[in-house]
Amino acid sequence: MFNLTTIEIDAFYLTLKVAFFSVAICLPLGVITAFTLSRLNFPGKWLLDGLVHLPLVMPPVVVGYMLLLLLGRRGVLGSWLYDTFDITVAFTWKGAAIASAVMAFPLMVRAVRLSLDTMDRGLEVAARTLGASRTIVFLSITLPLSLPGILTGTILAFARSLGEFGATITFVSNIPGETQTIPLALYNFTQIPGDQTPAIRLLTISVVVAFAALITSDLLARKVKNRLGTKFEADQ
Amino acid sequence: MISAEFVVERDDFLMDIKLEIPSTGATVLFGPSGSGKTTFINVLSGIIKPMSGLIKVGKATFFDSEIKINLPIEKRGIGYVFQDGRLFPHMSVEENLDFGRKRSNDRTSRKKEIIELLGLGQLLQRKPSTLSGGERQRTAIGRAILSGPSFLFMDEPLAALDFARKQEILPYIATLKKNLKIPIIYVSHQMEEVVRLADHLVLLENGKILDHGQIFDIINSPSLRILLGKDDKTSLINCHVDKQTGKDGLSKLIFPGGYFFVNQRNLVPLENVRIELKAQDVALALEKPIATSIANILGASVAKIETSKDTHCDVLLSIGNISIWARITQQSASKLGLKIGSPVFALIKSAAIRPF
Repeated sequence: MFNLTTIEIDAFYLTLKVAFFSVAICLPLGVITAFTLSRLNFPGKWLLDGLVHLPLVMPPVVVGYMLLLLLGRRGVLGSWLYDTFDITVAFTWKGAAIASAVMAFPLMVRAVRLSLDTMDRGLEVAARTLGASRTIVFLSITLPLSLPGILTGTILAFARSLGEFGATITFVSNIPGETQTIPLALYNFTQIPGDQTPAIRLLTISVVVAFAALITSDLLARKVKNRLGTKFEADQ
Repeated sequence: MISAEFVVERDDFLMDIKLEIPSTGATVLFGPSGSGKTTFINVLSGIIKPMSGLIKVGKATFFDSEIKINLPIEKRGIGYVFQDGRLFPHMSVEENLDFGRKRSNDRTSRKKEIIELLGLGQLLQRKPSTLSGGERQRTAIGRAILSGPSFLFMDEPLAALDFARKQEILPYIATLKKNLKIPIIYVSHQMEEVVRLADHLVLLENGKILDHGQIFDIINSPSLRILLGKDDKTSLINCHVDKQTGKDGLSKLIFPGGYFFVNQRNLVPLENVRIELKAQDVALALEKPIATSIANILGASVAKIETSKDTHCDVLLSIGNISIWARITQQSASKLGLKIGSPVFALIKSAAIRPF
């Protein structure tokens, strides 16, 4: 039962690759966006806030179709990317990573922003009275103290990417070895009547990956908590 | 010297200040909560931007609304001890201390001296969450000093502490003031901190300055008594400890034109101390009592008599080159027949004199 076929192995590695790059896109942009929304005031802030949250409230298929219109070979951005850099994202694994990143982005921003909003802003002021510039304050105080939120955001984004289906299948289709991640492969198998073993194998892989991610995040969270010394905060 | 002139308006609070603060000793900003004390030092340190005004510290302009100068907080070279300490939770005590020190010009051996002065040696590797309230505040004070400030602002650094902790920290601050020569601006609504630390006193109420000046001038001013809501009088006297001390347990404190005995053993000879003497602890006699338990019997003359609406009156006495207040009943005053210039003896129990 556990002799994996090429399709399944490909799907497994592809899923991890897509999720990894999706998080890699989400993380820096998400932290910057969360900081912008939490700390800065500027006209049109509501618009940015809305745009960031759009993928959370729209059907994933709609998001995928919008991505296709925007980033497809003949799309506004897509044709420019192709003409200038010879890059194609539609119907490639890069496109799958982008689709996952867009779907995961609001989760990342929300988690980081929550942690920035609840942070004691007085600590940042205190750091400035000690001679630290805004940049130093961000790097040495704000960022380390929002680590729990960043970690939560990363896990949520990673999980969201592992499970991304609607936007992916619409934007980059279901091509084995290129864009067929585990959920897409599983969908394929369930469409074929007969032997359920391949589908169940994929299901098992899915559960194992998800569990591994959960355990890793738990270990990391504990480490961060110890470093921030929050263990004793409850007694005060 | 800080010269500050500014207007701050927030919600229904208006603050309108014009004040000069000397760059020596401790200036205490005193007033009830909501009087604008914290706002005042937040404006000076750049945390709050005033609507208009001009703030200069020494030769540096911190804020000038005319030519649109607003020096950022980190460029003002000030130290700030917050009421709640604000230690960085992800750093050890030592990393907290180093945070400002790394960015100051003065990276010399001060660190060792300050760690010793504030008793932080045992705490360096600890995380702030494991410290007691008093330890945290001491760390916060050390951190601010090590950033090499030209002025140290302290916003009620003892307010969050219980009585025992206050007694633990107050001597550290007093030593700091004596040894470090950094001008301090200290926000407080506790009279105890005022009499102990203040060289200058600024009285604030409702965003306005009621009165300000040398502590010895302001301590018995009518505006302070209105702020305190009681008409107690108190005398502050600068003394130094006599070099021979402690044989019978009493220390001898010398002031210009006389001396007191105080019931305290651990005073350092030749050290300067300030004593507080409440008017109700001073009694008067026309003749020198011979058999008495009272340790301090000082020849004095009556300089002023203030009769209250109540049953008491306050008598200002000249003793040597100092003045102290005595509170006696009006009945006693008429019995003794006190007049301006009357020679009397001031009787003070040694336990009533509190040296700082």
